[in-house]
Amino acid sequence: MYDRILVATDGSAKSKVAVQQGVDLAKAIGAKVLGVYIVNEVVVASAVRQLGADKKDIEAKLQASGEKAVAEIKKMADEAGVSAETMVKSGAPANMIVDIARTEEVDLIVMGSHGESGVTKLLIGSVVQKVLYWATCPVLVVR
Amino acid sequence: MYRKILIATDGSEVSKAAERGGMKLAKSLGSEVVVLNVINEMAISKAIAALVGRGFTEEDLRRTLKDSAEEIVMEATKMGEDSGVRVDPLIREGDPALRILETAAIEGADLILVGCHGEGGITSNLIGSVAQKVLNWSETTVMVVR
Repeated sequence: MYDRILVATDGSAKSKVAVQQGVDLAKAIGAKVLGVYIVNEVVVASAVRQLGADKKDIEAKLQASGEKAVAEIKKMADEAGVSAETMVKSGAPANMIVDIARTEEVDLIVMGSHGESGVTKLLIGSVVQKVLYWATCPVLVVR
Repeated sequence: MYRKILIATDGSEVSKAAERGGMKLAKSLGSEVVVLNVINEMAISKAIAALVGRGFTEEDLRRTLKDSAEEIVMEATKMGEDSGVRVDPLIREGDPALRILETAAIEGADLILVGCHGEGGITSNLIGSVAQKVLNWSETTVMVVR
């Protein structure tokens, strides 16, 4: 059934709720987890252009927060006795999540309804909205 | 995990995929299932406006739509029961997304399954209006099936 579950995180508190639900579900149905964090290339570009940040520096910082976020997924999975791999990649988050889901042949994507930007006036976050448009597998959206 | 799963279906192919996915999840999680078909109030009023007086009565049309809804939920119920899942079939009338959300709240469902498109339309990549509204307003986890 759902043997391989992609759990996407942006490190936010809301993502953590989704990660926990993804790991719990994997445990309950005996699935494996693929934890994914995408370093948002738009965030990098705008930090460089508008804030004058050093590109390498900002990339390294985001890469480090990504590593931390996926390490948390790995820890949660280990504690639940669920087998987990993790990945940190750079690109446009929604596109990357959809691509990874396809190339890694996952059966289900689990994400939070909102991420870090937490624009709460949006009914649903822009990343998950795009993933819903383009994903070729089922998507579980956690509130 | 999920104790009660609400599967919304309109009997379309994608809805059937949602039914299958939901039943499998329910079986491995030991969840109860509510299968819901909403008779779209727009479909009722359009059918009445178009067909009453042309050999159909309003009662005929309402009965036909009700029969079709019953067939959809009974088929899904059988699918669940064949795999040992307890299924509660429900039929409501109104706006599909609103009724799905309302039923999820009343039934205390902690997971809603919907198809990415229903009978309404296939625009292969994007997402149907019912699924979109459910995602926008749901207070619980929603799984969108393709």
